[in-house]
Amino acid sequence: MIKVINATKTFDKFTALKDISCEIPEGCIYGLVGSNGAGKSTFIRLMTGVYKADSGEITIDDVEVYNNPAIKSHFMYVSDELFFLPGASLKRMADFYSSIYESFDKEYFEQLVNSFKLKYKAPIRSFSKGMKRQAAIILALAVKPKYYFFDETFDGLDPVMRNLVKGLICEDVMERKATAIITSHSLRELEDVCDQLALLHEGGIVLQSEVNNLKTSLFKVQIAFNKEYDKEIFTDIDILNFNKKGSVTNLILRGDKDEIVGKLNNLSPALLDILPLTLEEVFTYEMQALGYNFEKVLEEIAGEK
Amino acid sequence: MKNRNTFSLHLYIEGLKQLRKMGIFMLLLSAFLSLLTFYDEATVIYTFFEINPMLVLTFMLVSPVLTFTLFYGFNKRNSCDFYYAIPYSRTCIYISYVLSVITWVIGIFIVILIPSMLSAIFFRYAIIIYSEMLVEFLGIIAASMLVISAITLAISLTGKIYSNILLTGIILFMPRMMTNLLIAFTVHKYQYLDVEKFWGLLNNKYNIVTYSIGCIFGGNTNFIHIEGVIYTFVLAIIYFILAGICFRKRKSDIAKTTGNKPVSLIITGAIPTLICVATSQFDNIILFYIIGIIVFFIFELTISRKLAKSLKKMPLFLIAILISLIFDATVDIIGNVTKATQLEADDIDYITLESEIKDNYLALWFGYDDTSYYDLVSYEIKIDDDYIKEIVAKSLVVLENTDYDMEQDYYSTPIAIHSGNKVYYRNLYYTPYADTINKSVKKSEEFINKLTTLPDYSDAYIESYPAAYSEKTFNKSDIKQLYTSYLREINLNKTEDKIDLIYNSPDHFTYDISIYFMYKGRLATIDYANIDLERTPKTFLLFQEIIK
Repeated sequence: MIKVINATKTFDKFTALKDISCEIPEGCIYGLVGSNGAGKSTFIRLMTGVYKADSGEITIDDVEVYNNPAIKSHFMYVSDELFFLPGASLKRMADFYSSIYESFDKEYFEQLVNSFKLKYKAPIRSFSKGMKRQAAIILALAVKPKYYFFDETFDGLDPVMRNLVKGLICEDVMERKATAIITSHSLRELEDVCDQLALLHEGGIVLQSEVNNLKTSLFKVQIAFNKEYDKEIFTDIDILNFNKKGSVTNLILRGDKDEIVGKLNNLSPALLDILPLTLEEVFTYEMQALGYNFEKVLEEIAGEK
Repeated sequence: MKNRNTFSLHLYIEGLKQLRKMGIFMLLLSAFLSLLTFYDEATVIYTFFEINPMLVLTFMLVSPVLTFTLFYGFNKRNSCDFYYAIPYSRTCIYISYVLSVITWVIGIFIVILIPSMLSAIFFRYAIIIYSEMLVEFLGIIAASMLVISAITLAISLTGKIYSNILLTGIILFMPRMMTNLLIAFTVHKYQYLDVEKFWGLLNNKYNIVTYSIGCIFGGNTNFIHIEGVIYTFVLAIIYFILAGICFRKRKSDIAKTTGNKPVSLIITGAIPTLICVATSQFDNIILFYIIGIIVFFIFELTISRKLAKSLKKMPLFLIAILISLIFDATVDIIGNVTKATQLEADDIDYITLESEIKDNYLALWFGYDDTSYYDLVSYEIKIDDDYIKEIVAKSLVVLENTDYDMEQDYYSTPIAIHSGNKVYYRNLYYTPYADTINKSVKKSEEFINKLTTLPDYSDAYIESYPAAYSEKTFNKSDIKQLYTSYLREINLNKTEDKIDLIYNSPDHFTYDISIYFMYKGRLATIDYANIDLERTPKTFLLFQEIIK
């Protein structure tokens, strides 16, 4: 398990992360989403011992991470800015990793190299950006560590490769109960692969939850009546958002869906439809409930894409 | 379990691999430059300069280039992240990579050295003094270690290449520049402190890196001595330890920055401080303070690129002025404390002669070749004559700061005054007795005996250059004949003639030989012992016969 307790990190006078806390259980895929400057990469660097927190505690399996080679042998970190040994080929990188990670599976590595159709002995500097990212990913997967840290890993991958990589990560997590922490700009990117999601904004986690909970905790209802009505008729129902246009109202509701639908049916509506919410919409309304203007955050995220 | 905390063989091998291209390039470059600078004059060889001057490139070029090549990655965020995330401690990364650099440096040095030595042994008539060459070998390794350690210390503290280089320069040269200035100013103001041994480890010759650069430009090729080897090695070890500690504490976010605030201040403030210190003895010091503050501002602006921020830091220049004031005060403290030391004649056990350090700042860098047998012997003679002790005690009273006129003749006698366990070093300038003390040594029987006892041919290395007179060069047999004859004939002369022939420059035509031999574990030289027609006729004629 990864535990972060009240971790703070500042650079000169800029506070990148402030009093951040979370627990990441084993065997899960934990997604971390946020705009540029939110602190995602800083957070990952703290968890991997690249940075030392100014205050707070960061442990993996109850052991401090910073400058601790023993615990570092249990995880692989794939940075957003990739680095390979100068002049190295995949073969040389594999030899290097196999010398430092006892769990490195050379056979699996060669299998992955063939699947991804990469050149085993060619210098990695001759690879395209996407190929370099594939190389970094398969090296990490071949190590078969207990924990993966992927920082904006899917950037630069085409949709086919993206799905392939997601599949491999999921398979590894399911088979070996590995834990993967993945950061991204895109909620959609993480939605279908992560068990848990956290939203990082301006150095703090503003929302974190299991994805299923997020998806089932809120739902959208489109309702209409033949008579005049207002919000007052929806008593005893937890409404996060009320949007009436003409006689049709869109409601974002939290609670037990069947129970709430039953209550709405008792009001004899002319129209009652239950509509699915995207994860972005879920985040938007949850954030609004917390007092954040998530649309602004989403705009920032969308603008950076 | 693998050792991941101190040294990793895998990382070490990886470091060797990463240095392969640059290492081979350095090897080829050193080899090429070696071929261009074949040094052919000497027949008695005791310095690498006479074998291959380019061997000094080991610490002047190869060491810095290879160290920067391997450690440059730590200036970049992505490589820092990589190394700090893999399961090795930072200490392990540091030690393993440093050893990779050292391996390549020593390897290149040896690969260039071997053919140079072989060519000297087999293709030139050369006598090689191996014991001296061994000291030089160790000296070049020590100098290389010092350069490597200074660079890694700088990289541990900074994250940009130009900051790395600036801080390396500060670490390597600034301390010696300051001590050289201290010595030069103090000796200039208090001439009685112009004694080499007074300054101990502050003497520039202990640091092979700084001393060699000055010596090479000054034409002195004998700049590595055992004391310098030991000092330089010890200093390198200290820097390695400091660098290891700093590397362990180095934050990944230092990459791409000039370092933390104190380090940035040192980098921007070093040259202005040097300006203030170097000009602290001048009359128009305010002008130089102004120059210093301008330089400080320019450096600060270059680093921060913000006018407001740079202007805000200007008050920190006061630190440079404070350092120069402390420096100035230190000069006077040294002078006054030593001047206050007075001794009675009865307190003095004996006196020995010493060598000067010279109050010329440039001489502190250039050095001098101190293998003269004449000087070495003179330093050994203990003078315990009561009259001498009395005049030395009197001389201490009159140690004044006297300005001397360069046009006038002056006489100085640097001495060591031995009193119990203590030794006081003073240079007796312009005292009435300086000449007397010097002459008493020269008259001593022990001194004369040693001077006039030349080593046997089997214990000596003889050199002679007939090039001035003929195209012929001497071979071993010629040299043996000449020297054997010279030894026989010189002993037939009176003592005064012996000394005059061997050590003085006569005003008539002579041939000459130089004699090298080991004296009490160190190399001693008698340069240009004269062969003249009157006092060594057979040797003179033999010389002529050989060069016909």
